[in-house]
Amino acid sequence: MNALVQRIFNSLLATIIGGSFLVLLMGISIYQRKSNNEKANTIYEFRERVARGSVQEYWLLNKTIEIDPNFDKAHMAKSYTLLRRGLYTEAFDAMDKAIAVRPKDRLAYRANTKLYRMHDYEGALEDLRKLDALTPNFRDAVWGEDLYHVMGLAYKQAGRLKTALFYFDLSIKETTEEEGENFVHVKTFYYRAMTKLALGQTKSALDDLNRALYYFDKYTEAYYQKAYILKEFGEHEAAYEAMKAADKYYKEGYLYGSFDRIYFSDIERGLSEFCVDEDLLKNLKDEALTS
Amino acid sequence: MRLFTYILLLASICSLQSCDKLLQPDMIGWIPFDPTLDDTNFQLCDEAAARGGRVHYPRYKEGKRDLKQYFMQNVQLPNPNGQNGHIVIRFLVNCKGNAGRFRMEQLGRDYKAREFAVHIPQTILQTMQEIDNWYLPEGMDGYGFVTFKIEDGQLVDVI
Repeated sequence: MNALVQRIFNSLLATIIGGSFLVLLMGISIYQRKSNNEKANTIYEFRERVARGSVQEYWLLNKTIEIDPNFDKAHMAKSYTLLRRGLYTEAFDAMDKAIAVRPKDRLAYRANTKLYRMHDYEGALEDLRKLDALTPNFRDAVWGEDLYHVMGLAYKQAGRLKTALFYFDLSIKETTEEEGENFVHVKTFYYRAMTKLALGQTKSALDDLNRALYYFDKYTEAYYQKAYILKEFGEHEAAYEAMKAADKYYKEGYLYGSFDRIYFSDIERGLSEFCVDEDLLKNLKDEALTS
Repeated sequence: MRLFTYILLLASICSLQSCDKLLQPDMIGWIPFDPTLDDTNFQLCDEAAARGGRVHYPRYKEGKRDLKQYFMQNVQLPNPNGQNGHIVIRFLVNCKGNAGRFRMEQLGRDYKAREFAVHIPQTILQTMQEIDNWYLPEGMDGYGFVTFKIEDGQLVDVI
């Protein structure tokens, strides 16, 4: 009986090993018939199974590139990983290689990286202009953001406020005409407001902040800036309410961050400053009631 | 019996290949200890977890604005020298908030490697090494990097 079980076990084992070997041979044979691009794609897709940002992923990406140096997705994936670790020389090198293969699709990411990660505003603008020139009569999206919004932001950060205003206006105008104002990103209204504030156009800045809040009523930064404008206009109660809203939504985690970001200490300071005004207001109200 | 043999075989391979390394790979950018560069007194609280686990990025006080303020107040560079680009410092932070294993990368405006006048990276690195109160989630080690923007030989931004 034991000998029979042993024999069945052995033949099962032999079948499994033999079968696996055959599958492996077939796999190798199929793989060998693929073009370099298909082989690269197979390895690139296999990378989904290893940990992101690991040396294994990096090795697979390099292998993909070794097989097909024009596999731009691998160059891009390599650059994301490297950027997240602050390895910028290699990251930009990978990005440049992806751009050389597919400039229309890849330039936007380099522009975005230069703007947000490196604060290299002129470098970002140079890439954005190149991108715009490559796609005439088409308003590109830069990593999910409208091209003119990003150009406006880069000009604003570079201190070229009037040009920034021109591009924010253009972004809002063209998006509104093509898709409707509700398709304008609230950040465009916010950054246009910040540009106008820097140019001393306070009333118009308040209109933009209100527009941003109309479309997104949890915009912490917009409430915060609005509070200060209202305070300047002497509307202390409304200013305090706006600061309280900023506090509420900050605590709920609504924060866009990036440029002109605010911190909790700013809101705390604002609340304590505005509280004085609220006390004054309360006294005035009490006086009005008793008289 | 045979199953036991297979498990034993796998365990032997694992011990030879360092199984924890196979199961939990190093992350890209990991900074191994280098006796020629690093302070031996700097110790991570759990090196294995930091090397291959989830990356925790340290924070200085409330965030980047405080970090920028710290560098702007403490880095005094001499005369402008026409040099432009970025300096990136990567480092590890232990669960006590101390930093070590600093590595530096210098990039020109074209984002290719370059060398700034030696006093620029030196001053920035020394200022960086004086920070001993990085914030991380309780009991965690972390990996961080800070980017310094240089224009005309002067520090103009900390990112």
